[in-house]
Amino acid sequence: MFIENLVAGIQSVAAELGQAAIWLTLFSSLWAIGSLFIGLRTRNPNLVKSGRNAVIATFGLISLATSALIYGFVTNDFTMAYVVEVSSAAQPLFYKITALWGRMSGSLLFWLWLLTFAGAIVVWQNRKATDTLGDYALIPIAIVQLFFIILVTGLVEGVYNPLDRVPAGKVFADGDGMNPLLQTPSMAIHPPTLYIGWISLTVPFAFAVGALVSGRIGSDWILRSRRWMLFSWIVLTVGITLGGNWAYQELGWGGYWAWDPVENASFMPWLLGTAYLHSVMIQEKRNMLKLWNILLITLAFQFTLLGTFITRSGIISSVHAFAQSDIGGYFLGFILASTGGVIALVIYRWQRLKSANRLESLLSRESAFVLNNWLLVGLTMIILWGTLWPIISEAIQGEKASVPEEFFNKVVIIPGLLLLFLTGAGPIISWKKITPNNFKRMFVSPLIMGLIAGVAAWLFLAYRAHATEVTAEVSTPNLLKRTSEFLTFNGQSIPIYSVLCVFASVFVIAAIFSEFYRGAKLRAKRQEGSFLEGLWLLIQRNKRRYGGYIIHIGIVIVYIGIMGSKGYFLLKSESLKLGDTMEVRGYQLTMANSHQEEHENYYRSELIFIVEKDGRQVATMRPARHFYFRAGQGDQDTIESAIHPIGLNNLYIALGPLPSEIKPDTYVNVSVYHNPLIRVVWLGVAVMVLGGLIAIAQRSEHNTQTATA
Amino acid sequence: MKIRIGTSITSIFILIFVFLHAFTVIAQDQIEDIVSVDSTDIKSQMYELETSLYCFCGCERMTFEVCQCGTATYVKKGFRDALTKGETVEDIRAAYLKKHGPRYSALMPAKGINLLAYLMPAVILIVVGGVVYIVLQRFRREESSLTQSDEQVSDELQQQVEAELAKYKEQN
Repeated sequence: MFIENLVAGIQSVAAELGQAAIWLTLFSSLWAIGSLFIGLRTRNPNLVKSGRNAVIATFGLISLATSALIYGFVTNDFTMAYVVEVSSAAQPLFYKITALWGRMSGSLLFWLWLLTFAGAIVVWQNRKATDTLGDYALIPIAIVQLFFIILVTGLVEGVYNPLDRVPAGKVFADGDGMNPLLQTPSMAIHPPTLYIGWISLTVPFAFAVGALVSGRIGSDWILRSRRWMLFSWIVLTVGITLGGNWAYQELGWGGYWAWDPVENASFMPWLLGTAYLHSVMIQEKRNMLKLWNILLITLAFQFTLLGTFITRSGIISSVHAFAQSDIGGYFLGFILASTGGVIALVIYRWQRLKSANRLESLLSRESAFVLNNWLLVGLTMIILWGTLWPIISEAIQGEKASVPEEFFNKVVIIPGLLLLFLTGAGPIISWKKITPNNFKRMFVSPLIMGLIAGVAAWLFLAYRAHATEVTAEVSTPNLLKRTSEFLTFNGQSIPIYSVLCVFASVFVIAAIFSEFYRGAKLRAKRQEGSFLEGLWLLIQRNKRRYGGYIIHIGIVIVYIGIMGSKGYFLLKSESLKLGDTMEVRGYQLTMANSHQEEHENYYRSELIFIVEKDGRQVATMRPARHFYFRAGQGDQDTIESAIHPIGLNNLYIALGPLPSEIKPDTYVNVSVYHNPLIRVVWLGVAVMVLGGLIAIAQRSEHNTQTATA
Repeated sequence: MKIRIGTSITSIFILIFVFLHAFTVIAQDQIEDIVSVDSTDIKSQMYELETSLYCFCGCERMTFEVCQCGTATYVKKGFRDALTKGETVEDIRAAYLKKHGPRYSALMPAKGINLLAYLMPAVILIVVGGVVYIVLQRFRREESSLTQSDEQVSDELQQQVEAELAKYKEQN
């Protein structure tokens, strides 16, 4: 009894402390904005220092509030409204903690905590800076923090304070529990990863605004925020992939990307961030594109908020419907206000944003980067257009339409393939102007290799199509496969996009490998070492450049994986009873047995499939459904697909609804997918992340100078 | 002059690319109409229905082909029964969309209002290309300007001044 009272007492104190901390941040963030601005304008170092301290204090206070909420989850404090909403006593500890971002109020607090953490890091990074740019950058960071603080305190309608207590007189012995779809390892990591990626994009944006306010519009702000941008890009890459992996494992539809509005919302800032990472190189090298870079980073930041707006407002239907609330309007208002602020600053600094240099030739690396930017920004806008089409169509014809995956596949495929080609052309084309010698030396061999591979792919796919026809396998015509076979030649359809994808991929790989080969050979010769030593030195000396090339290789691998898994998958759905067998691309799957077991907070019902090929057992697969005892939101049961790797491919089984008891004559809907090259997608992302980590390891010139000083 | 010729060539290339893009997007749609499945077979008709309609169960944007919920199973049984009774795919589709709303259609043919959706990406590419062009070519200093930007110089000077100031503060 004493222990229980003690725990209840601590819970109460923790909740009240957390609540007080949240409210105090209103003042600390306002203080940070005011004192930094006035201090910088009046050149008062004490006020500036006070502003920096306020940024750190905000981080401390939000950390306290977040800890109080986590403590509430861990100790099952069902006097807290948010704990009741997303947790339950039987929920495993891991998912009690991840429940922090399980619903709106908590995820906003978590977002805010990350943002204040980023602010504190910026203060720390700039502690020895001799200029004021870092302090200027703190102002926009504090303004964004203030926006989130207003939401988290529950001052506005549509969201409540996550540390609020349940209404007086109400007692809850247990909570509703978290949406079962979120109780998976990948979903536990996916949202925070995306949040980290989005939030770290705030810092380069803040530096851009700081540069505009302070008038330091050279490359300094880019150098100072370079690692933040790369970090954001890497984390977003991981976050987006985790989301795809979650969809693949949990939604039971055999795919990982369907151009869902929320998927698009995470992808668009990534595309803009990628464009920015390329265009800043032109500013660094040629002192061009200053305005463009500021616009790009502003767009990338605004798209992180737009993503949240799309996710939270519920204006567009999405598989992420569980995250909807009424706060979309506030996000839209903040997007408009902050964009307006940047536009005003750009107008104020108009003359100083003009470039000193111009493109000397349209066949140069600068032009390749500009083309790359055109395509990346164009793709972003096309995806935005498709995402918003339901609203646009409703405005035009009064009825909300859905935009199928097929639409996006069609409209992005050509720009996407051109972008793939540029991934190889960009690194090998020379700066300023290409010469005939440069073209002959760098382009001819990769182009020939690409052409040979393209023709080989054509022949292979034609043979494969013929073989499929001979075996008369009932196959689902895949979206991309259909869209890629719109050209016919001599009565036979040509999988033109697949052929182009193979051509461009081989071209890129050959181009980048030749860059590595040439550089490593030269280094080895200079150092009188082996080729491998030369390669190591090459990467070591210019991590940014060669890390970037490794990212390009990763992108090619992802393209190949997408081509295989989206273009040539096979889905077969049948109703089976125990003992029945179905065949998918040469694999015989027999529904051999069933098994049920009870877990901490769910009941698992699974079917056991024996997979054979040519009479030999190759795997045992156990697709299942989980039935949750307490789950406040969404469906009470989840699909637990069984995935079996076969080389680079996957065999995937998802089950339809299961009865409470599986008898020998019970029929179950079984969907089996054969997904070629799907594992290549995950491999490609891993290579991209590796490249990103190498690139981020290079200290920027600014950092190096600070370090040596 | 060199740039102007180059710009013209690039502009033509971009326009060809954009129109090729718009053309192929629409062309693909026409081809898909042609490769529509055999309408006499129930299995094919079921496939046509399952791939062209979204389930209304709450698993947003999941066609009946892939949706594994109980609602999908129930509705698919209804489709099969209706087909067996002789109803056409078009009738069943129309009845389903009338009941649940047009947002449950997974088809977006490049016709009518949807044509705008399909053509706009080409327009977007032109507009973004135009913005890039303006920023790049028009938004630059006059030829007579210094090679090195004023900002660069002023940044360096500013840094130097601030470093001196910091040193001065430390000394005092």
